[in-house]
Amino acid sequence: MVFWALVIGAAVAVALLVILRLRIRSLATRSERALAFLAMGVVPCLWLLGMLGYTDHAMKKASFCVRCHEMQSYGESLLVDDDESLPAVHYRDGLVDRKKACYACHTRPGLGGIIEAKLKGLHDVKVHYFGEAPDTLTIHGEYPTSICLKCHREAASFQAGTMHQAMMDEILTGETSCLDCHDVAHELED
Amino acid sequence: MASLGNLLTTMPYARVIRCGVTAQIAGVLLMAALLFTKMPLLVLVCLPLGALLILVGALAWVWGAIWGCE
Repeated sequence: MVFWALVIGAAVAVALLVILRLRIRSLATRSERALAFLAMGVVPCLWLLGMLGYTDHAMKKASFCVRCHEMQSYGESLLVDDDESLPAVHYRDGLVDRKKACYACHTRPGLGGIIEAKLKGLHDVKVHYFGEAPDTLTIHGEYPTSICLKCHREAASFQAGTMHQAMMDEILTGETSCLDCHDVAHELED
Repeated sequence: MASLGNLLTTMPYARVIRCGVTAQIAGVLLMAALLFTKMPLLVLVCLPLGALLILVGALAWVWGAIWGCE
């Protein structure tokens, strides 16, 4: 639906611009200036906003992440039927939006997290095209606890956990990482 | 020396608008490519370049609306 709206939007924008270009010499009347306003000011800018939203949405999809071959085994690890693999369990049980599984668990909450994710993405693209990816991939820095807490903080099962209750302050401040107790690494097939 | 204001007001309206229209057509076509492919390098090039061209075109129209109208 959005795709076709943007395709039609692009066609309309180009058609209006072509008409305008052909009539540029006679932009003296009010109606011709209205055409210029519509063709150059309104339609392309609205279409641009739509495209930015569309591409942002597309880049958050797991299918975009696994386009690079370095990521394909990580994408496949989400499909493993294993109760011990937390990424696979989150994916299998629908605990995260499956279409945006990578983004959901690798982006800190808030505007800072979005910007950070974009910058890390740029770095990854640079390495993919112009560098050499290491055999064993590691995440950038430490895995932030705030990512897990986005969903788990309010969950009754998390709050009822005896260990969680005992060290709740350390968990909430990020002093203790979820990874200290939970093995969340992707299980890659050899 | 001609100031920027003088330079802008003496530039033919139609020429500026024509350049803006051309930039916007190129920008829309460039960005429309992203509807059909999500190749990361293409996204990296087409998205900012297309957006820039469309905004340059919109600025040309703004210039025309402010200085170009007689």
